Amino acid sequence: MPEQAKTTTPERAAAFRFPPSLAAAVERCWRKAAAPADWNLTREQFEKTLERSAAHRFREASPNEKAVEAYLETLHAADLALAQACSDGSPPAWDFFVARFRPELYRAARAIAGEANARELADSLYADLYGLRESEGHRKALFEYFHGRSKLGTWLRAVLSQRHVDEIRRARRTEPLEDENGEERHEIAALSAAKQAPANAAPDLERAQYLAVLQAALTAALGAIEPRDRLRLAYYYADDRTLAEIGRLLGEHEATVSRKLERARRDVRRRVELTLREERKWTEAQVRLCFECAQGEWPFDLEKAMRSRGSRLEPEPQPDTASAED
Amino acid sequence: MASESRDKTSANLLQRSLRDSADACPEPEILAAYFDHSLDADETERYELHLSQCSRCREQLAAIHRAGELSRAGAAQPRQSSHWAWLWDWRFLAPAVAVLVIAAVWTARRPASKPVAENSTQPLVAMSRPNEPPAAPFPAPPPEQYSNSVPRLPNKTLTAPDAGVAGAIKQSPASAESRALADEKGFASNQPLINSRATELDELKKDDAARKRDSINAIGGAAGGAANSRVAATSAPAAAPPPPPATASLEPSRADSGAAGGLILDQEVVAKRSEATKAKPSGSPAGVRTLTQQVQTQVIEQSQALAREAFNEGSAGKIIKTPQANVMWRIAEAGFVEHTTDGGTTWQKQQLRGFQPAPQITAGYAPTAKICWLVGRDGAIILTRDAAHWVPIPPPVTTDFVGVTAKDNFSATVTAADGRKYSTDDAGDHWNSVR
Repeated sequence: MPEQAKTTTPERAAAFRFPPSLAAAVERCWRKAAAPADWNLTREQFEKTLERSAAHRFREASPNEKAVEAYLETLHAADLALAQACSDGSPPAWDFFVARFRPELYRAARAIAGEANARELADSLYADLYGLRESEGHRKALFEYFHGRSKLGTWLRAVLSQRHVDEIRRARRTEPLEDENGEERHEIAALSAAKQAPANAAPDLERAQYLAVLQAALTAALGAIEPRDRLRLAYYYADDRTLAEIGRLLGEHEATVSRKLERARRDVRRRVELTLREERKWTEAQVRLCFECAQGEWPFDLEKAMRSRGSRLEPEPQPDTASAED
Repeated sequence: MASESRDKTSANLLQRSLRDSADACPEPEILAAYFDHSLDADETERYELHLSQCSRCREQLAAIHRAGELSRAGAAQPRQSSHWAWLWDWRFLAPAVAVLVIAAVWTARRPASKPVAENSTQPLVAMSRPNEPPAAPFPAPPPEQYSNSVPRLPNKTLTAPDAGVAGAIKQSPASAESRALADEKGFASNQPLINSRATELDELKKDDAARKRDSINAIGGAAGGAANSRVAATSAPAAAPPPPPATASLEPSRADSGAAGGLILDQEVVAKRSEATKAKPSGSPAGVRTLTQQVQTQVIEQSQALAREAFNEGSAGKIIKTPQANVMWRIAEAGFVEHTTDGGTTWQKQQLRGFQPAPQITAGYAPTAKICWLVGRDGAIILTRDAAHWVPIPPPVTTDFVGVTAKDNFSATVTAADGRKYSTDDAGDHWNSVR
């Protein structure tokens, strides 16, 4: 179970009760939900669902009523009602879900995992949605992790994406050490070579110091720019995406992406040079030398080498919403 | 150091620096909410920072985008063949539709290019100027004046009976005063209509002169009793002005007639004339005026009747066709629609659940055989994606809707009773006003 969901225990949810002043907001949500009668979802049950959602959202702070009311207005009430009714095991709700979302789910699985793996990916999700897993004697449907913050369709695509990406990454880490020709893979060879470097090789301390200072300045500069600009840079430099792809991901025109990337690069460089000149009091010659040092191959950059082959060391992924309870 | 090499160095440094951070990854619902733009500003900034540091989350987000694009493409209607695909591109379609609309409006509003034929027997309807409200019904004439069905035809002057006359002003060489009056009233722009009226009025002069001679010879005597002086107005039930007082004398004094040059007709002549002009309402300016009112009244009444029918009866029986000829919907009584898959041989009733009271449907649109949008009174917007189950869609405003068009189960445009239009691309989660 994800850390975030762990905090949404029944006790926590019970502690989060809407005051009477939020009755109107709850009523509006209920009307927006417009759950058909045959789903057997009562208003009281839906209000509890809303309380759980709010508890999940505001688990780190005690919100005021206005914040909760504003939050309730943003919820996708109809989807939340459907998810709750399905989670409660209502056959008509489940029929509606299958009729409405099944084609979309399979299309999404095909888009994410390809034709070969789509059915397996989508079918595994169905089982978890219905709640075939049990934890502490309680059937836990995947729907319980949906709190109405997004559309249900988008949430389903997000869960599919998470499972697929994690599977890909697990596969990367378990790649064999030798390729089909029996030769060690490049990055492992590099690691071996590095370890076997002559013990008497004199470290270039001055160069290392320049690079360390430059790295620190760069990290500080990246931390100072807007998160969206940093994300744009990450898409371009870390993920090697094209301007068009970044534009689609961020909802921007390609020309806008290009312009903003250039602006972000200039901004980062300006900040780095400002740090080196103003804070470190370096001369122009020292700044030039610093960049010259960085121009060459970074020593022992195992990560860069492994990244170029798509199998780098990465932090452990968060468990997915279905398997975390195991 | 050359700028280019420094740029390259910066790029390398950026690539190394934008590495994964150790922050906990958000759950899928957060990524989904980010994709749907449902996060608030603080959350968006916070998670964009995480995304910039976490390749795993970026990969997931890219997969969500991929799935979303292909899901929409799969749910959309099949397009025309690629050869004619450009024709349906909005960049061509929008300006083309705009040009067509402008041309249609211009054609409808341009003035008549040629006058009506002189001897035309078609009824002539006096038109008010576009921005003017419809002409008010004629007030009851004061007793001492002539009835409005009897024009006062001076030898040299023509006095317009009332300000309610629009376009029925003579303009001929014989009535410079009337021309001046027309200008004063501002009807000079109705020149073609005025010309046609002038022709008619000349004929009326001749007719009335002849009748005058006949009446004086055949009848003689003072007027008595009441006659309905409003010829065509008697047949217009809603806008009929009140008849003149029963005891009103319609016979002007000789002094008045002499001064004004008006006709002298007694009641029987008036009655006979009434009968005559009933058959030929276009033959008199007064008849034209009353016909105008009649037409206007009829138009208003018909519009009101249609509106009442549409809203009170819910457009019951209205067929909603789909691209498949044998699959249709039909609007039934409040809260129900009917569905056929055999071209209308048999119909299955489908209840529109989840509404209190039951919605009165006024219109619908089915972009596919499975998808159908319905709209109705009090903000009712309902959608089925599988031809079986209906779900309510949150309306942009709570008002009566009279029309809907749709591309698929996400994109639709609804039309309110007051003409406003709203469109959505996400099945009603967000609406935009359409101009």
